[in-house]
This record gives sequence, C-alpha cells and structure tokens, in this order.
Amino acid sequence: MNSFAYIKPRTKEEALSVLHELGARAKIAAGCTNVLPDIKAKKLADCVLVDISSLAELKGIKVTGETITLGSLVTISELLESEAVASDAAVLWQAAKVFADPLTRNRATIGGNLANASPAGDGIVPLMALGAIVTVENVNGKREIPLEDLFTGPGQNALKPDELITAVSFARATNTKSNFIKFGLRKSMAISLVSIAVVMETNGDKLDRIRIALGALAPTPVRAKKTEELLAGKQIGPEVLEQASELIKTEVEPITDVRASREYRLHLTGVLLKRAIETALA
Amino acid sequence: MEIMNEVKVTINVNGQQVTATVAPEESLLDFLRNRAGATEVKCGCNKGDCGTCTVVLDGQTVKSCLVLAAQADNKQVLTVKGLEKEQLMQDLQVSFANHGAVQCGFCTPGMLVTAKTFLEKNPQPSRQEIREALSGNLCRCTGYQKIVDAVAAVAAGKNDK
Amino acid sequence: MALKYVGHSLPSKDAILKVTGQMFYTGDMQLANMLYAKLLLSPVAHGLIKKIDTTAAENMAGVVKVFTYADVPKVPYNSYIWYFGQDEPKTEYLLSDKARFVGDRIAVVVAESAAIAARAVRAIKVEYEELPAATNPFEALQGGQVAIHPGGNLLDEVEFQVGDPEQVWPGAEVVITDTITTPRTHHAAMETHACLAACSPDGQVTIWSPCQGVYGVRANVAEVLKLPLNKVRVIKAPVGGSFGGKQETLLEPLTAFLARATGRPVLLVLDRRETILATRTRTATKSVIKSAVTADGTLLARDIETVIDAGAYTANSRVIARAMGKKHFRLYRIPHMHYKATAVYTNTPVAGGHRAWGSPQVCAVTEIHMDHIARQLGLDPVELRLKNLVQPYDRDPLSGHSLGNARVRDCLHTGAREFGWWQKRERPQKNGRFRRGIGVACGSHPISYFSAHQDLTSMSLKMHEDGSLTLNTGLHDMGCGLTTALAQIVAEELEIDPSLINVMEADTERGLYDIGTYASRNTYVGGACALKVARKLKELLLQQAAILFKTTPEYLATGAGKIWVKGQETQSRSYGEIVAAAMLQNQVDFIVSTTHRSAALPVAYAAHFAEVEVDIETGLVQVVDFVAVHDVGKAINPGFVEGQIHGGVQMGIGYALYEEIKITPEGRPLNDSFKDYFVVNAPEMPEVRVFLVEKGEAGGPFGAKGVGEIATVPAAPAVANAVNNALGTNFCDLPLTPAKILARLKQG
Repeated sequence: MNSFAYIKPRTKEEALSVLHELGARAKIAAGCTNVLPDIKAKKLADCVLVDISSLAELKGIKVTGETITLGSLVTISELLESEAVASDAAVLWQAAKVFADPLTRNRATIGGNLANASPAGDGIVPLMALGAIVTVENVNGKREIPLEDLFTGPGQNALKPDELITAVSFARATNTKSNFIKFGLRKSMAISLVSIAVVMETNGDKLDRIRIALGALAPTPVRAKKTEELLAGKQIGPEVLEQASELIKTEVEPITDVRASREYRLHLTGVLLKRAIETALA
Repeated sequence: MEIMNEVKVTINVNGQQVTATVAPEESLLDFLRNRAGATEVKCGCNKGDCGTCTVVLDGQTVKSCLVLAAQADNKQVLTVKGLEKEQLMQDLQVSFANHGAVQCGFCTPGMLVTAKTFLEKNPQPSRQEIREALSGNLCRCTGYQKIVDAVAAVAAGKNDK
Repeated sequence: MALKYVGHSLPSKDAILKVTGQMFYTGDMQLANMLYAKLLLSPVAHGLIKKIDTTAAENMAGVVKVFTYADVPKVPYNSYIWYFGQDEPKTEYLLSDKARFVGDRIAVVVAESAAIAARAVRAIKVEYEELPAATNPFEALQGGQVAIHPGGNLLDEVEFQVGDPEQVWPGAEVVITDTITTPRTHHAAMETHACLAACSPDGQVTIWSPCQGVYGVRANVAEVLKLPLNKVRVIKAPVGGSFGGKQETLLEPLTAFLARATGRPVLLVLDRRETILATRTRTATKSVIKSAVTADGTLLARDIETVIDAGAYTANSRVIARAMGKKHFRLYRIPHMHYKATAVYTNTPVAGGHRAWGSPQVCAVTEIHMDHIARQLGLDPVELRLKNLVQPYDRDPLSGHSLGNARVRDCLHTGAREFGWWQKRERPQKNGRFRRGIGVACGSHPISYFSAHQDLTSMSLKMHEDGSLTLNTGLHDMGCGLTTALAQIVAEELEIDPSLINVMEADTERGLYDIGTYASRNTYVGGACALKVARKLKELLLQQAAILFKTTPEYLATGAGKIWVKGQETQSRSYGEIVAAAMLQNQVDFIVSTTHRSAALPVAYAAHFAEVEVDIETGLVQVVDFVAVHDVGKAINPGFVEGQIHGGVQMGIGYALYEEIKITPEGRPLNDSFKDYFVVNAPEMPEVRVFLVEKGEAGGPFGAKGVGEIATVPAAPAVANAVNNALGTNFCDLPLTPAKILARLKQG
C-alpha cells in the first residue's frame, strides 16, 4: 500500500505526455521545497510525483533583445548569480536575496514558486511588478498567461491538469527604478507578512508609470492598479504618497492568520508602499 | 520511462555507491540516515526549517529533507564526513571545537557544511555576512556567537585561536 | 598559586566527536532486530474516545502491533517525579483513554520500519465524542466547565508570606500595580525527543535516553511496569539540547513497555510537531504584581498573585507554582512580601520546566514592574535597583538560609559601565521612524537543591596503572561542557593534564548516584564532589607513595603528576609508576569514592542590559546591543560559561519578542513547526558582550557557582524594558510582537 508513485521524464515532450496521461493524478516535483513538506504534513497524497528536475529545456536564463526569459527550473540562487537579473530586473534580484534562506534558495525554482501559488510567494510578487508573462505547455502546444491572471485562489492556479509551466519572461527593466520589500518577523527564514514590489519609469522627478504588486494581502498576489493610476504622471511628494498609501488599502483583502492580523497587514501595506517608492527613488 | 511504485536509486555518498529501492516520497535525508548509514546527517524538523540535515548535493548545499531520494539518483552527496578530506572543512572542524562553537552538537554537522560552502564562495566575509549565510541553520545552545567566531577565524586564517 | 587548568577555556572533550559527525544520539542508534514506534496524537482538544479501530493498521505488512489505552498498564504516574518515592499527584497514563489536549497520546504503532509505522498510524480510526474545551485557566475555573480530571480543574493553590504586607498598603506613599503575562514556549532543542529500549530474557529492560536524570526515569519506569529498580537500567544518551525539555520522564515508560511487550528493541523518535505539542512547554503565567514604595524608591511591600496554566496533566505545575514564589524572595530586600499562585488544568499542551523553572516568568514580572516604578517615580532604573537589591550574605527571608556571596550589585555596576548606561540614558531620543531604547534587568536563580530536596551526588575516581584516570559520575552533560569542566577540576587538584581523565556519565547500573542534572547544580554540587574525590585520591597516592619511599606523607612533594621526597626531586616517580608499584607490592587498588552533599543554598545572579531599535511604523524591534554580566563565583571554563550565556540571551530575546506556542480558544495549535514558531536565528542576534564577576562562593569548587539557567533569566525583561524605554510605554505582555506594539502606538 503506497499512495505515491514516481516517474522521471527525460524530455519536456515526455513530461507533457505524462501529464496528458495522468491529468490531476500528477504532481510536479522540481525543487521539492514545498512538495516534501506537504507530503510530511499529509497535505499531499495519492499522486504520481513527476520529477522534472533534470529537464534541460526548462533550465537557464536567456536574454533575447529586450526580453529576459527564465526557464521554470531556474533556482532562486541562479537568479542571484545572474548579472542580467541583477542589472535588468533588480526588483527580482532583491526578492531573491531575501527569499527563504540560502540553502532553500539552492533548490527552490521560480516555476515551483509560481505553481505553488502562495499568496505570499516571494518570487511571484516581483515578477508581477515586472509585468511577467508565463509560458505554459501541454501536448497540444503552448499558451502565454499574464502572471496576474495565473492565480485563482490561495494555492490555486489557472493551469489545466495537463499543463506545465515551462518559462516566465518579462521585458528588461533597464530604465526603471524599483524596490522589493519583504516584511517578515525575521530577516530570513520567515514567511512574508506582507511583501511589495514596485517598478517605476520616471522622467525627471515625475513618475510616468508604476507597477505595484503585493503579496500576502489577498487570496493571491495582486497588482494595485488604482494606486498605480493615481500615481502615474504625478510628481512624487509626501501628499501624493499619503493618498496612495490610503488608496492601496482599499485594493487588498488581507486575512488574519497566525502570522498577522488583517488590521496589521492593512497598516503595513500603506507603510511599505511609501517606503518602497522612497527607496526606489533614493 | 515508466510510473514506478518504488524507485531503485544509486547515490554516491561520500565516495561510496549506495543502491537501494526507495519509496517515491522518500527524502534524501531518510535515504542517507536509514540506507547509507550516514547518521551524521541530523533531522531536527524534517520540513526544511532548521538546517540540521544540510549536505552538498552535486556541488549545491541543500537541506536533504527537501530533496527526494529519487532525485539524487546517480548524484554525489557529501556530508560533513565526506567533506573532511578537504583542508577547509578540517580547519572549520578544529575552529568550531576550539572556539566553543559546539555545545550539544546536534546542529553542528549541518552548520559546518553550510559554513564550508559559504567560505568557498566568500572567503573574506564580514560577521554579518556569516550570520546571513548561516540563517537557514538553527542553533539553540550557542546564540550563534561562537559559531560566527569560528567561521570568521578560519576566514582570517587563524584557526588555533 | 596560579591555576593551570581551572579558569582556562579548554575545548570540550567531546567536540571532536561532534564536529566529525561521530556522536551517536539516540535516534542514530541501531540494535539488531530493532522495531520503530510511532505515536498517534489526539487531534481534538477534549473528547471521550468512543471507538478505536486498529484493524487496518494492524493488517499492514510490517506492522507488529498497535497499542491503545486498553493494551497498556493502568498505572498512573507523574512524568515530573525525579526521585524514588517522591509524592506528587499522578494523572498521566502510557496512553490516554480520554483526549485532554491536541497532542495527547492515544495510540502507538510498533513496526519493522519508521516509514511503515508512520503509514500505519494514519490508518488507525478513532471516534471521539468531543467535549467543550477549556483553553485558558480563567475559563477553566468557571463553574459549569467540563472537568479535565475527576477532581476538577483547580490543580493547586499555594501562598507564601514574610512580614505583613496588608499593614503597609494603606499608609504607603506610592502603590504601583501591573498585570504581566508570559507565554507558553517551546524548548526548541535541535534534537527532538527520542528513546530506545531493549529487554533481556531475564526481564531487565535497558533504556537509552537523552535525559537529565536517569534515576528519575528509573523510578517512573519501575513504577509503571512494576519492576524492581535493578531490573531497569537507564543509560544517559548524548543530549542534543534539552533546556529542561527532556528532564521529565516522557517517552521512557512507554518505550520500555513496548520493548517488553514485543520482546524486541524499540526506538521511538518524535518529530518536531510532536515535540512541540506532546512533550512539555514553559508554563504560561498571568500575574498581578503590586508594590508599595517610598518616593525615593525604597521597596516596602510587595504582593504577587499568579495564575499558572498547567496544561492537561499535573507534571510539575504544583511544584513550579512554589518555585516561582520562592525565587521571588531572593532578589530584593523587601520587608513585607506575599505570594499566591493558582495552578489550573486546561486542554492545552502540558506545562513543565524550561530553563530556570519559573525564574524567567517571575523575573519578567518583577523586572518589568521595577521599570514601571522607576518611570512613575522619575528614578533611574539602575539607581532604583541599587537601592533595593540584596547584599552578599543576606538571608532568604522565606527559608532563613544565606544567599551566599550574592554579587548582583557588582553585576549591575559592571554592566552599567560596560554598556555605557549613563551615556545612553542622556542621549536624546531620535525622531522619525526608528526609536532607540535601553533596558536593564536583574535576575537570580539558585544552584542547588539544598534544603528543598535531597541534594547529593556520588563519584568514584580510579587511577590506572599508567596514571590515566576514570571519573565515574551520575551526572548528565547536556552539551554545556560538564565532563570537561569536571576533568579540569580533577586535573587541577592532581596537577595532571585533563586529557588523562575520562569522565563517565549517568548509568543506573554502572554509574553512581546523583539526583539529576537540574537546578544548575552540576558545577556547584557535582564539581565540588569531583574536587573532593580528587583530594581523596591524592591522599591515597601520597599514603602509598610514602610506603614506597619509606617515609611519611608530610615529607613528600607533588607536581606535574609526580611525587618525590622533598629535596630529592630528581628521584621523583610518576603517579602511574606509584600505582603500578603499589598494586604489586602493597596489594592496593587505586579507586576512591565519595558522596557530596551541598551545605548551603547560594544563589547565582546576573544583570542584563539591552539596547533596542523600534521601527514605529511597523512595530518591529531589533536588539542592537546586549551586555550580560554574571555572578559566577569562579568560571571553571570561561568559554563554556560565555557560550551558555550567549545561548541564554538568544532564548531570552525570543521570549521577549517572538516565541509563543499559540493555541486557539478551541484548543487548536497554530504554530507547531519552526515555520511559525520563531527561534532567533543568526542574523537577528546581536553580538552579546559577556562579563563575569568572579568573587568566589564558599562550597563551590574553586569558588564556582552554576550558570546554566540564570543565563536566560533576566534577558527577556531587559529587552522588554528597552522597548518600553524607547516608546514610553508599559508593555506587560510577552512576547512584544510588532502587531502588539503597533496597536499600542496607534492608541497613542
């Protein structure tokens, strides 16, 4: 009696056909930083572990023209070591720097972080602020999903059972100012109580465009679009920041859990928005 | 390629090929302790929260409770014992002992593995960088201070205190 | 004469085993034919067991047997009992027939592998009839609550008094009252609980346990299994951290029973969740403290009424209620004091001792309150304490015994200087996002059981024919370096290198008696015994050498492990030569033994100073500086002392800011893993500056006191006081989480 089975496809095509065959019985195993704790906590059972960890097609960071593409098996440590990420996706690099702890970063993959769909996913929030597009594939072909449409609820994503995240890509954010703040009770090895990523295009002291993504403030990571609109085209000063930090609280729906209360998370949202923008501009 | 209810794996543990048939969900930690006799790899939480089970897997420092044994098939694992062949690990071991970085000793094998791979990447760290590097390894006895002392001493080339 | 080994930071004797991964902890042990046990813990906080179906589990391949309450002896015991014949209420059984908290032991599977046992546990089906749960003591005491035990939910009440505080209140210039709460915490030793038991055909059961008291374990196991004491052998295994978490007899009776029932060795290793929920926790308390004080800060009277959450079983709560009270009488000179404690059963994880047995709680209560008094009176917190602290050789007003060379004032002076207290006090507060604050707290903790319980320990010391030695003890090294420290003491007395001395730890069959490694008594009591037994061996050596040299001992001189007739150093003989010759010629064995009883109740003291930075926009607190000054009498091994203090401060910062096992009103635990139960990790720890006051304690070896528990006692209130200083608040409820701080700041 064993509720788990295992299969290790040798190519992406094999992996897709396995998923096609197994459908909902499949559970992708890559870095396993969530899969194994879920198995131990009995949150996961009766499934076939589809080990994609050695699929070369899903590895590597590619820069093509103005686009950076991360294979879904790129680890958080690889993000930290990537010059392209450090210079052209600073917000993602900053998030990688505070992701879990140094050991977990060696295993956790960006694809796994997206698939896991945690409302607090520290990989998701910066990618959302970068306007990332997720490539998912099944035996019939591939489709692209804007990251902000990927999630349907806590731990739930819009993937069909036979689909696999193969890559995530975004435009190089060369002429932008950005910042990621993770607020946890410890500097590392802490799950975010609230996280925020901002990516801004500025013109002198005017803010042309801003993307704001938030973690742990709603059933899924979210963009704060009303606040983005409010700030777009504005000169950034204390007054407008104050306005924005009030408005942003209306865009989120935090819950109370063991880590923090709804009220506390709401308060942090405003504080962190100001800090993120101020730090990015500094 | 087939769906398997159990998986035959061969993992090189500290230079020894160890072959066993494992359950799909078996962790590398369980493999190391129960099948390879590598009891120097400790289990403090089994959920990736404490770092006592830290080993080097094909050159990467990992928490072995967060790796499937099946995923380590045909790979090389080095525990604190396997790393002992290297001078840097020996220096760290001596430094930990001499600086009082070891109390109950349960976190020690994992701490040493993390410290060793960290110093390879960053040979001249600040104390704060050492602290950040060890942030995934918990210790309840030492308050970390003498562990940081021991790592800093090796970095400074002063192992004998 | 300068000391050669004592007072030096030698490395721990077992460090080499630990850094090379060759130390075998209980969970690493393997015996032929060994079975693995796994517990089924209750998922309900309070409920009657209507039905347990173990069929599916028992039918699984590799499962040997599943045990429930119906299969185990119906003998109640108290896990806390640590010496034979100790009389305490017994409310616990090997397996429960009623679930009293989430984590109660309901069933246990024994199987051929740990994986099979884990799978089988999931196949056990239990039907519960849920009962209303009482999860805080106040609720549990209300009428109409379902009784957790037949006698009701009130476990015990106790009162102590000196003088007559009631007379003081009406005329007092100032009376200040605070309500202070301390959380339920997890010991968080990195090694989870484990036990290995095997039985031999003659019925003797052998138990390997990372425990703190083999004789207490033996007493409990013998009682539950109805065995003579000599049929229970308990061997202390390497301890991967305890901090009191492994001091009670938790897994041993059940594991021993399983080994006897199956006839095979059985290993039981808990996982982290089980260790958090199903072992012991630091007792949560809520106290009302009231002090009468003159305008210039002299304490006149004090009253503390505390309510103790015992959790679901008796364990040590009756006793900790008393311990907390007694400890409170030993820090300040207060002529009129009253203490009352009420211990209450609740449907929550069981409370027990956790590093300093009530001292962290009562210290948090008095020291946070002291700072409140200082603020009210406009006095400096250091000055207020200096006005009231005990003096060396004051008497404990409750017991009448001397506090010994109580050097808490020296600690406070040294700490204030090294911390830069006065300079930091005068620094203007910063405006803006970060506020700095400084805090101080003093603490006390006894270092023996003198006058409270038996407080004896026995040792034997054998010198072999080559001059090497074996010191046999009944003590338990928990990683703090005890065996090395004992070797240093013996080495100093015999003038030989400590590496020549093996130190054996507790084993009820092969070792000697000791009441247990509790109460920070290892150095003060155990170390004194080691010194005594070394002196005795030296006497024997001199006596036998005198026969060999054809003289009398007073004409002999010793040094560097040699003996010679005064004036004839060139004809010296080594200890080994003397032993070998005397064994041959005089038919003498070089083994001596002794029993040491403590003869006083000295107290260890400390003063901790913390500086914090509080982010007033988020409530996050960072400890940026920490000074810990300890009255240790004499540090046998200063490195070990510092190490324990560093660890104690880490635990205390956690107690102040992060750590709490959270239980919902329905009794559901919210943080049963290190993911959400935060212990302080390396980046959060400040560099702790340790200073030692070494003024000697009569009765301690070379003047040494203990340090293991006092190390953590004042740390949390020092941090809390620093936060209150930074914010002008009077926070009284640990831990001071960012959300709590922010909520208070928003109130204005």
